[in-house]
Amino acid sequence: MFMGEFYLIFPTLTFTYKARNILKYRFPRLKIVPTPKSLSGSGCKYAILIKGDLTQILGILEKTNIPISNTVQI
Amino acid sequence: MIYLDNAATTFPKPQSVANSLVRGIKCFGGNPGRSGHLLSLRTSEKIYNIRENIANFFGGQTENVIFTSNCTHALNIAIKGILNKGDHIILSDLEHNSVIRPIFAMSKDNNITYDIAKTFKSNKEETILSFKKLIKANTKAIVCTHASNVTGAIMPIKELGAMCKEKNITFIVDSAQSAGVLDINIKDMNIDILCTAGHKGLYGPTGTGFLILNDGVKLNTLIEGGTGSLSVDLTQPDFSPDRYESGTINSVGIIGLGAGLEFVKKLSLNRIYEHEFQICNKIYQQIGNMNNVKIYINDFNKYSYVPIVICNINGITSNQAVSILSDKGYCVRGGLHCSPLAHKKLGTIDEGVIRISPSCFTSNAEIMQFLKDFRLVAKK
Repeated sequence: MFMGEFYLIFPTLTFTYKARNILKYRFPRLKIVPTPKSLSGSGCKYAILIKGDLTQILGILEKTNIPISNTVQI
Repeated sequence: MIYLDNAATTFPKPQSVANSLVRGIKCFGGNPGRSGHLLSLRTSEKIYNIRENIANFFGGQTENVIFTSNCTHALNIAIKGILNKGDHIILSDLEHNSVIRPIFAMSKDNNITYDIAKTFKSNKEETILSFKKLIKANTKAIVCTHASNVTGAIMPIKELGAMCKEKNITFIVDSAQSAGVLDINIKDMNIDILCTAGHKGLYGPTGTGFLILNDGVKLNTLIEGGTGSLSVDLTQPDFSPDRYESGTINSVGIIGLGAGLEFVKKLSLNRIYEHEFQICNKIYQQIGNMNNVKIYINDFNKYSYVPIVICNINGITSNQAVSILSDKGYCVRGGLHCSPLAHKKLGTIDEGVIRISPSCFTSNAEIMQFLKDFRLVAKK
């Protein structure tokens, strides 16, 4: 268990929406946001802002082959 | 006016498509994937949902749906993206210039070689064997139309896909005439790259098309540029769809295409095909009995052809006939339909053929009226 609020950062908006559609049933309060400048690194990126157990979240995404650029705890 | 040129582009479009275009302009005006503001994100989400619907309809992955401006654009991305110097490609003798010309251009630059496989109507095995015989050690890809835009003949795509998989050859399919009419599943049919238009059987607006890559297919890029992702990097992203979609996409057109796809799903492929087939069958039965009319298809059987009728009136060229019919209020197409190989095969390279192609909106009453006037034109 690794509870908290996180940014899940994806390389492209397509993957962001794909991940959102998979995660939204378990985490209905998640939100798509532009990645904060301090975290976006190599330019434009989008993130999912999500509250929950990161281990569980990443476990769900691992089965889908959706690439994640980074995860950052707020 | 009675419109019977739906193989070129469907007309009319469903009211839902027209409504979606207005809504696209008014409500989804942001640039998708480019900005973090509300309007951009709203448009991005709309485009994502359409991408997902297309992927589900054709059995692909959402991120592997690449939007293009038409089927020719999609085929150019596929052909030029898969071939490297020294590669060999096989195409069928029914291909459109959207396939022939990119291959010919690449071969002229001495980059690649190609062979043309003969197809046989109503004989799947012979067609497959014809492709098989041309495979060389350096054959990188086979490109085949799902259905000819001249004769309407349906090709054995599933069987060719299985052969390509066995031989480890990339299989590119042009489904300009079949998407929205025939069932297509890229996984079941082992299609590596499916290319199609959005404005034909899918009832979207002109200026829309797409390709779908099967899992693991990666292409060289035709163009590079802004994608709204990894913007600091000078290199093009290596992930789909961004890798292949540089520059602002036609979001309003894609929204129209999405509405067109919903229309097709609601009506069902089976109902669309059955309706259009029985119209073509009726035309073939009637014009087959007209003295002055030459027909080229004598085995117009269900699921051997997509709903296209071709014929000629003795003594005049196809374009002359089209002009006379146009004066009477009918829209049909003559000439070579950008498919010289198919016309050489048919023996109509000089005069072309009159092509009559209905849509789901074509009524039996319209066809009866058309046949009445067509008979008069043929008698003169």
